[in-house]
Amino acid sequence: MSITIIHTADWQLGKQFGNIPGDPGAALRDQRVKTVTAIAQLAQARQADAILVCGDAFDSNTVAEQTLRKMLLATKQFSGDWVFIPGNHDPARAASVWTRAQALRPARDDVQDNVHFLVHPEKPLTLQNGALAILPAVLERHHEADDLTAWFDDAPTPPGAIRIGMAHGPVPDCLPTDEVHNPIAANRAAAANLDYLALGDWHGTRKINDRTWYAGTPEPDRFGSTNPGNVLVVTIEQAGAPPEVEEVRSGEFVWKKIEYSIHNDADLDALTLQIRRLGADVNRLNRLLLRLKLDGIANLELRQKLDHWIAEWKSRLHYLEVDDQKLIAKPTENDLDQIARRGFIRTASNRLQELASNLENPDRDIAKAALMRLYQKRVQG
Amino acid sequence: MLIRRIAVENFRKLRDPAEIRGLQSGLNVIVGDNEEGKSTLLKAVQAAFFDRYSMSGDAIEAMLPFGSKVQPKLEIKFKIGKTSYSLCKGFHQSSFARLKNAKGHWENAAAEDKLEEILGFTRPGRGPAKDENRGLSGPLWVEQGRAFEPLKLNDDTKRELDEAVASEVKATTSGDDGPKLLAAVEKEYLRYYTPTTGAEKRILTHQRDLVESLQQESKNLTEKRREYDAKLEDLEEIMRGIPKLRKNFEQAQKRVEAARAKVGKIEGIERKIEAADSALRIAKAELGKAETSWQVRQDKRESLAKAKMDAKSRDRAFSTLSVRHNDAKVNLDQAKEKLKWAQRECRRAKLKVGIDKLEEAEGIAKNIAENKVFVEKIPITNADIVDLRSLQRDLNIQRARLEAMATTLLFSPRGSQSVSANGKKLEVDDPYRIAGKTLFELEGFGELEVTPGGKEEDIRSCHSSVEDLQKKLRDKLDGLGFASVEDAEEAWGTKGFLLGRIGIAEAGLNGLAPTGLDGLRSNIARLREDLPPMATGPAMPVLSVKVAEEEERDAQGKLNKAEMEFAAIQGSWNKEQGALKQLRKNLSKLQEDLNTDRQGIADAIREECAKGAKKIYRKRQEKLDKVRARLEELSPDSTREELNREERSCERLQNSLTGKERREHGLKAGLQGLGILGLKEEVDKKHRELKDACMELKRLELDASAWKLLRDTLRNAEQDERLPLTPLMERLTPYVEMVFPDAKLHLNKDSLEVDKLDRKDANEPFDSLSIGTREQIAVLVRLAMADLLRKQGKPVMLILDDPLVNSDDGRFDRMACALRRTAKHLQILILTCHETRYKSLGANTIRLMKREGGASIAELLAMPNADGIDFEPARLSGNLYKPADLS
Repeated sequence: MSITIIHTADWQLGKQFGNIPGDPGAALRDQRVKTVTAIAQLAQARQADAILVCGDAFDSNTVAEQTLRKMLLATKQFSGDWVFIPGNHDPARAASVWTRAQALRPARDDVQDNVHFLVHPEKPLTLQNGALAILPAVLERHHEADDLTAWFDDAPTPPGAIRIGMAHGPVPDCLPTDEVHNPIAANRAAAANLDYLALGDWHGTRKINDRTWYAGTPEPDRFGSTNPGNVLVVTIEQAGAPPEVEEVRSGEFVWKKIEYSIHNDADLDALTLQIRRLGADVNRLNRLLLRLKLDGIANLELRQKLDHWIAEWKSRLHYLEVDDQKLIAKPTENDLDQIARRGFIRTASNRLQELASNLENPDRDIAKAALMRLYQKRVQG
Repeated sequence: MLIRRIAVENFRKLRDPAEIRGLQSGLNVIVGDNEEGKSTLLKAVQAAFFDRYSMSGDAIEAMLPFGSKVQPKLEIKFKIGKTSYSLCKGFHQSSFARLKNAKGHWENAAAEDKLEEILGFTRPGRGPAKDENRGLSGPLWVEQGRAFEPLKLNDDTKRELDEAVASEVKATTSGDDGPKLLAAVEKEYLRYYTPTTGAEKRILTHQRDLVESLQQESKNLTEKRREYDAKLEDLEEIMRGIPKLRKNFEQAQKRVEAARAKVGKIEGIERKIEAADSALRIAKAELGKAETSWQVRQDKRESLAKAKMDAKSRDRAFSTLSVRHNDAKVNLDQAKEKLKWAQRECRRAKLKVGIDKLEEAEGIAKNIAENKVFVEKIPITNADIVDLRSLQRDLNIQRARLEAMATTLLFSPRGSQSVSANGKKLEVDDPYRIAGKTLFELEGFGELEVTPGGKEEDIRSCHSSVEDLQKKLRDKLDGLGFASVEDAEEAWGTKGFLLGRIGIAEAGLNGLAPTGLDGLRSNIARLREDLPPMATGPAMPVLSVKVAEEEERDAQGKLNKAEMEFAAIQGSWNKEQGALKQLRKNLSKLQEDLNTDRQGIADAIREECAKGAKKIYRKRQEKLDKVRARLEELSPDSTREELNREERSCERLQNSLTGKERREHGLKAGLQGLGILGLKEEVDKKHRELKDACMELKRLELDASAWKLLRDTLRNAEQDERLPLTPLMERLTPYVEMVFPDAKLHLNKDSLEVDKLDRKDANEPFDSLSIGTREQIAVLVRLAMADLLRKQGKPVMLILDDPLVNSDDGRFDRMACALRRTAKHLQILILTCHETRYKSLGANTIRLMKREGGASIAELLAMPNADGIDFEPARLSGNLYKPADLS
């Protein structure tokens, strides 16, 4: 019997995106629930048998009740089985988001019977009338020193059932990370005779071996992740057959980082071009989050242009973060002449320039800002 | 400003009318010798322009010529811009002020108001005008000897300078751009700060408050989150501990049951022990009663036996004591007898001594009586012997005198011839004294008349005294019955001796019989009466008193000892006798009591009862011991302690288990509640809000600080620009370079006073410079200032009263260049007595010359070209200066 599952993880529902202020941050928070709904719709569309959520469905065990309910509401979009295991962000502790979810079950119909929270260690779940056996590695604490998948090796399952393991943690030596907690053996799938080992924790989609995959987060949530924003559609024809793994794009937003040097107008034009290309790649500029790290030296004229440029692109992108700490504003004689060639205004600009260039002056940033404002007032009126 | 003509009358030393005409634009040098009134001329010009015409008092007195009460009058014709003015003032009596130009004229106060308006000065309230009341002329018209003083600006000059500088600043800052920029920046500044105090506005304080509020909220939420985590840790700890606790509780319950069963068995045995113990106590009571009765009987028997033995023993002891008692009594009696004997012997001895003493005393008394009789037979008394001795001594003295005066003759016949004197036969070999003429008959020889030397009267007197004394002595001796004084002395000695012996005997008698012989006899009689009769027998020899007294003391000591011994033994004897009587009484009572008891129950029966009770008691004791031994085997105390311990342990475990289960439920409910709050999201959300607020605050603070800095910097720069220093320095620098090449002058930016002069080798404060250099610099500053003010259309001209008297020739020449430079554009009047020095200036030079009998100033005004006493302009050939802009 062929089994199709949607493999996903690291939803991080309830994440606040503290570094993204205002509406852009709120949109990111809302999008995470929408993405869950999209996953449910995808599963429904693909007639999947189950959706396996491999940990960190929630950003924390103390997410708001509303967040929990939104997630449970989204599960109604898929009539197949939902299988959740806890992750290091939402471990199955004595009181957790899972106990709260369980508590909702008898009183209301928020939690359907097809939603399974696997929070008890070493208890397999059998679905599809015994055709699919799920072996969960249950994290009861944030960090475990031992490999919680070790018991898979000897776990009995119904004869002929497709054995799928679910775990949350790093596979040592297979990921560019030094994380040592919650380790998972790279050969667990083989050792435990698993047809597929569905993993969570790594936010980019990543194949460890033919039967072992990280789905990655379905909605990117940080700058610098590699290949996030996917879910995996996994089809296994029968027990022992190699899994077919399809990477399906699910992310709405694109997070990018650019480091750039600015020295003149031409540099600024080239940067503009680069961002336009990036926008073309992601199709929609207003879904792009960009971290721009600038360095170089800019006179007051260029600096003013850059400020205008930044203001313009902030309005065009979903979010633009500019780090210009290393971009040195250096007024030229021409800048100062543009402010005033003589008289007290020139005297004032000279004094500000002196304060701004004095490395021992603790208020030189204020002097720079004052000089820039003087320039703007004089040039722009 | 251009002064064209000056006329003075009755002003200080310029008593006569005087006039200066021909003053031109550019340099004018007015030359005059000392005391000719150059400085007075400057004061007259100052008074005309600035002193109130109506002033009075000392100021007017100072204006008047010495010793005169005339009216000082001043007239000045001058030009400002294109307008010519004529000013005339009269002071003191009928004072007046008149000002006129082509368009009108002004009288008195109106004239002075108009002057104030056109010259820009502030009139003094009272008294004469000072530098501060002279407007621009204050610093620019320099009196003699004050040229080197620092520039002191009055308020009017400052105001005029500020106006002049403002125009310049406006010209250098592209018109109104500067104020516009300042206004725009001020507007930005006022978004953040209040205009008056510069305090932060709500936009900043609100954001700061918001940050603080969010920090607090964030802290509270974080605290709640920590509380959640702590409770979760607690819950998990409890949940881990509950199974073990429950198991321990069940085990404890089992141990309690086992201990309780063991204690039940112990309690059964303890009840048996209680019964046996009760029986034993009864047996013990019976035994006690029987044994007590038997013991009482035995005690009585023993008491009786003992009493009998005691009685016997007491009898024996009393007998012994009675023997000792008798012995002591005998000893006592013997001692008493012995004492009686000794006392009698002692009295006997004393009687004998008394009798002996009486005999001796009677002998002494007899002797005394005899001696007294003998003494009474010697008639001489102490007075007699004194008289005799006195007479003898006088006689001896008189004889000695007579012998000294009289002639002594000693007849020693070879035979038996006799010699007689005055018919009296003389003893041969016996010296014979003659006191007067004496006729000796020498037997066998004849007569011999001898007349002694000296005064005869004295000799006779002396001889008479001798004879008189001899007679008295003889009479006295005869009266006493003595032949000579020596006899009397001897008798007196004998009498004394006897009296001494009588005294000694009386003392001895008194010692033997102090109370006299009768007293002694009376004592003896009493001793005899007290003497006890002697025992019959041979008479005992009388002992000496000492021995007798020794015997008495010895007998008394022995008696005392015997009495004490007797008294001691008498007490014991009496006591023992009483005790013996009491013992015998008790004995009979005991015997009687025992007999009474025996009549009730015999001794044997009483003894048998006691033995039977003891047997019963022993049996019951054995039974009790056996049961107790069984109980001990079960360790009742430790068993009960164990049960108690187990029960308490079980209770504790139960309480702990219940508490932990309750706590578990409570924590779960609490965590459920806290979980619903969505703490993580709330914390993150609050952190995000806080971060946003901090960023906004940082942005606002930077923006506010930047605008503040920009505003302050601009204002400071603008204010610095507005100071007269800069334009003044611009004009002063060429002058300084002209006079002091390679030197730089520094002025105070506020007071415009000279601070210092920087030269290549020195940096000198103004006060340290020489007077010459100081006056040159001061003049240059005035030239520059006049330049600046003139350029802005201010009515200025310079009057310098001998300004360069301390300058050397080189400096003077360079200063002359500077003066010429300035004089191109404005009028300079120089008053000096050094005519030749100023020749090189090529200036319009006017020499002061006094003329006799001149007209009054009114006349001069009426006759503008008339010559009175005047100061004619002395025109130097080829040196006439005609400024191009002269108007």
